[in-house]
Amino acid sequence: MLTLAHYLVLSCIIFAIGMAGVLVRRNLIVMFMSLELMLNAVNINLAAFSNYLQSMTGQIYIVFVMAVAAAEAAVGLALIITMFRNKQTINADEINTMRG
Amino acid sequence: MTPQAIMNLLSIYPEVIMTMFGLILVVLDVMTKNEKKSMVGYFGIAFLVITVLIAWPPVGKKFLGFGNMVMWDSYSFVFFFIFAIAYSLTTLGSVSYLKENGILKGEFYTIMFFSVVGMMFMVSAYDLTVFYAGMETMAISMYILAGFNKKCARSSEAGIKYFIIGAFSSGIFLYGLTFVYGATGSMNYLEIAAALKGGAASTTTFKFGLVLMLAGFAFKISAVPFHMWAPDVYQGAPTPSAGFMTVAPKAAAMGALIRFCWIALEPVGNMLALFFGILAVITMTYGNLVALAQNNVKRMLAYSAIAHAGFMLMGLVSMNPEGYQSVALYAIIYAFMNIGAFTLLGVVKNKGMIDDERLESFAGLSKTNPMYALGMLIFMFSLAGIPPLAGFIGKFQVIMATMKAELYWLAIIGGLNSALACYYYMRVTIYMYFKEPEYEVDATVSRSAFITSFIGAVMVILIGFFPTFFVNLVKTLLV
Repeated sequence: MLTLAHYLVLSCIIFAIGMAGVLVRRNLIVMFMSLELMLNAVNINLAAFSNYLQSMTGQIYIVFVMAVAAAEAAVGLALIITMFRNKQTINADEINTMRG
Repeated sequence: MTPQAIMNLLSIYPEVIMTMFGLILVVLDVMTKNEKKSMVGYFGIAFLVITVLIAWPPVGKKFLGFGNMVMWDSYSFVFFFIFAIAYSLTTLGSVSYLKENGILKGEFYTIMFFSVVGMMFMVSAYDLTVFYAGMETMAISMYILAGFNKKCARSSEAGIKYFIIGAFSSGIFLYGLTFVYGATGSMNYLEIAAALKGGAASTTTFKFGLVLMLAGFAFKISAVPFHMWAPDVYQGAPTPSAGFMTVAPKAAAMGALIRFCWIALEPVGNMLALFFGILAVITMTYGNLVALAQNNVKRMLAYSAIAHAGFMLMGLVSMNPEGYQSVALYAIIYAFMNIGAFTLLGVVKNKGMIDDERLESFAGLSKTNPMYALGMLIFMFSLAGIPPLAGFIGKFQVIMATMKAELYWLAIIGGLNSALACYYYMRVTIYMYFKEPEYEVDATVSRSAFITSFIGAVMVILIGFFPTFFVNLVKTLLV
């Protein structure tokens, strides 16, 4: 029997993987995919809570999150492409010219 | 139409009008010739003026629609007015800068216009769903504005940094939000407050979620320790978008945060005051201390933006009507002085081998370009909070609000910080007035940039000399 806790643990693991990916990996595309993982963890959480609370709000929210993630993907990839055209690299360490 | 349907319409009509105008701007962008793209921006200003006039708030009335999801009241209006000021000033001041950098495109103005719609939804949200949609509309537009100069590696870098950190912080925010939803069973501010009164406030789920949510908010307003992105993004972004980004999104995030704390988190208000108090103190102090060490004026203004965010947080801490009135007033004043300063900053061109925005570029400008130096002097003095100018009024009101809430320690730290801030603003004026020029610098102010900085300077002086009028205006609107 799957309970709420199972889903929360699963989403927590996925969120942690995503967060670690953003912080540790240096390839912009991989960082970007890790960001999507974080959002997917959020979606699992929302679905689990929505089912647990028997309320529709959570499921509607998932649609919002997915729509926004798609819009973000469009802008993010465009920015990565402009970066690549300028510097011929998508390594986060090599593009970092401003300190801080 | 049923009364409910009319109420629904009334609660979002300014946003609907703005969206329609935004779509018209997209069409206008296609219709204008390449060298006349600034017309798109001017039309945007005209549309904003029309919307401000149409949306003029019936003071004291509240339109709450769509199942308590969106609210249009005078509070939303005041913040909309701040965004309108920021948009108009940025547009006027940006034309010559964009033209010189070869990025005078209609998209700049269109995207900025749509970001204003997102900010309006953020501030008028009464539900986390609407809030999130508005926040992302604003944030995604901001990523584009930061990376707008495609040919410039620094601008792309700023865009990417802003994007990664912004998306990261939204992820954290959302993850916290799911737990708040799980603990309270709702996304609606009013229902969250009701659930918190009913005992949900003491659950671990709620506390964990709230901490993550507030961390996400802190990213957006660039509060220390979540500020790392701010200096790089503001330095790398094209100067006009940097001016816009330091003012409007920050005001929007503050406005939304105040509404969220004031309504949804009202039952746990005492717990929040200490959290925001500490956040405000470290934000101000860190921003000011690091700004002292900067030799690049643009980067210095970025750190000063962090310090100003700390000041605005002080108004939030007091959790009384004076608190949020003072934040709104502060944001209005900050819009005038900071966009004015950024406009003038975008004008300087150093013909030597160093960056245009280095402090050395400003050496001796009072002799070669006295009007420019005078304008910069006014903005710097105002940002520093020297008494007869508007910046002082903003800081004074915020500190008064904290005093009224009997948070004397916070008021004292705020006062000390504004003294500390004087040093680095004064450095710019010292370079302009007392140093000999080292490099050949061109600081010819174009007509549109002159108009922007003139409006900014006049408003800074007017608010500074006649504060009572403006303070009362904000007070009557935000009862």
